[in-house]
Amino acid sequence: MSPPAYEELREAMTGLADTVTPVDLQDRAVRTSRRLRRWRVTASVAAVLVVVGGGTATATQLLSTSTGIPQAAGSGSGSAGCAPATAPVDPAPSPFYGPTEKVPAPNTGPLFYLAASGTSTALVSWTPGKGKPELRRPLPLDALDNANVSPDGKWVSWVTTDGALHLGAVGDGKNDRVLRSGVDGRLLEPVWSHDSTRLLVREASGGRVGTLDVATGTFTPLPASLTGARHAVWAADGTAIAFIASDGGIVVAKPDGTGQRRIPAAADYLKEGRKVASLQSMSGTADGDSTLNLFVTAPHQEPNGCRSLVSNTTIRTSNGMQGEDEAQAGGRYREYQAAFRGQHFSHVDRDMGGARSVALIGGNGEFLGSIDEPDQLRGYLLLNG
Amino acid sequence: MGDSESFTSFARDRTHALLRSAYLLTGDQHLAEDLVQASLARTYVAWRRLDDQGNAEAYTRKVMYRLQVSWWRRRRVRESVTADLPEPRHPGYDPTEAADVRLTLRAALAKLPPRQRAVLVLRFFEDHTEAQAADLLDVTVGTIKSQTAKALARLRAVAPELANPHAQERNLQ
Repeated sequence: MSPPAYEELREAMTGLADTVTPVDLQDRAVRTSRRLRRWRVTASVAAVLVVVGGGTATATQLLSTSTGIPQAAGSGSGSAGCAPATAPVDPAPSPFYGPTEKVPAPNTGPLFYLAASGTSTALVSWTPGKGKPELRRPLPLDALDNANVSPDGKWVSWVTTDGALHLGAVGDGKNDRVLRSGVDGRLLEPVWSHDSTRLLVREASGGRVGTLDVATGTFTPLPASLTGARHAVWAADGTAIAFIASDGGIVVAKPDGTGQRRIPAAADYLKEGRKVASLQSMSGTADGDSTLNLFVTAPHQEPNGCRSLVSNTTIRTSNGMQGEDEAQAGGRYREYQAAFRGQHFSHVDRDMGGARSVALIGGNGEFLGSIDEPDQLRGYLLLNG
Repeated sequence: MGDSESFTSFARDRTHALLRSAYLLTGDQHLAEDLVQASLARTYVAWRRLDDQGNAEAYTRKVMYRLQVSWWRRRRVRESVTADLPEPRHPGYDPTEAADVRLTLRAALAKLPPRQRAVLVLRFFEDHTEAQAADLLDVTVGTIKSQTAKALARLRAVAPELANPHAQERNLQ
């Protein structure tokens, strides 16, 4: 039965639909179907991702410029154990990369990037639509593996190889301090809570996982065990955490580690011999229609110490459904980095293709705006919020 | 008739009808073409498995709506509202008013999340029942109801003249 009213809406929809231009898509559809078939066959036996850059090798050189902004030297080559695999790439341009037209970016807070040379790391910020990138402060080279900026954009944390967890202001290094020693900075690198007051950390010896109050330095162990957990992320609204379990599965839990629930998608990856290398960000909550960006390796490839690399898939935490980016792209793997920032927008997609752009996605999945990323940021590692 | 010929016939016959819905879903000619192309491609892949090729359009539409609503597609769609609207095709229309309505609708739809947009198209353009819409989107009827209410509320906020529930009642009086 049809709805009983809204005639103006019906008429307007019919009028709008009338404006579409007729085209013959039969040939294009058949070509796409061939790519789909080829991708399905290839994907089952071959590598599944393309890594353009990221992680510890995102920016391999710092070249000083007149503006003082570090200049990254193209794409990285991937860190040890995270070597890129070859993906089936269709030579034909994918129609799914969409039109290049941009709409104005909404007012947002800054995005943060890391650039690195052989001896140092630099924290860089850029606010979409608000001018040039800014060099904010230097960081030690160790920070490239685990530095994270608080969601309020004020603080940066990092762990040095001696296990010291450092906290410093984003703007300068004058008041850096050590929050705690004996912290794991490699597999469960400290991650910020959504309110920028706590860090989820693991003790290097003993492996206890807990939250660390950054104001007082108080460590509170979680009541639930997170033995073997790797690469945790905190949901944007603070109601959940997700981590990679010791067997490679993905688990979503309450912030105190209780209520652990496995995401079924991971089982499929494991069956295919892939491994989840890192989680990038999680929007929404553990129970809602939230999404999780993750990076999975090629079959039988070890994910040693990867973090914040170029994601190649997304899944819904509610049901484990995988995003359809690869299939929709007609066999091409989308190369992007996803971050998660602040109150103004919930998600950033960084398209790493030829014309790099940043797409801003709101909490309801609505498209808020898109803007080209400055050339200076090419190859930089986009940090999660 | 072989598979290729029968699919060609189906695609040529039904592409424009699919494009009309896809245009409402995406708000963009090129994105609509991409969406229909992708949906037809999946239909072609499944062509031999379709129990009844007479249901091919229903299958294609189901694929199309689910593709559009899928999480990843949401983020890829880059919409913009332009003033470049084609001339109205129906004589007797006030061209200025008709163009204004289309422009308003297009802008209003662009502000909706894909699922709400899909629900509106299914309910008010394709005249599907709540149960049919639920089946097409693989959600519950309750979700269709709630999404419809939310979509109309949001539409009412930006284009109250389009989301007036009493229009037909007035016409019937």
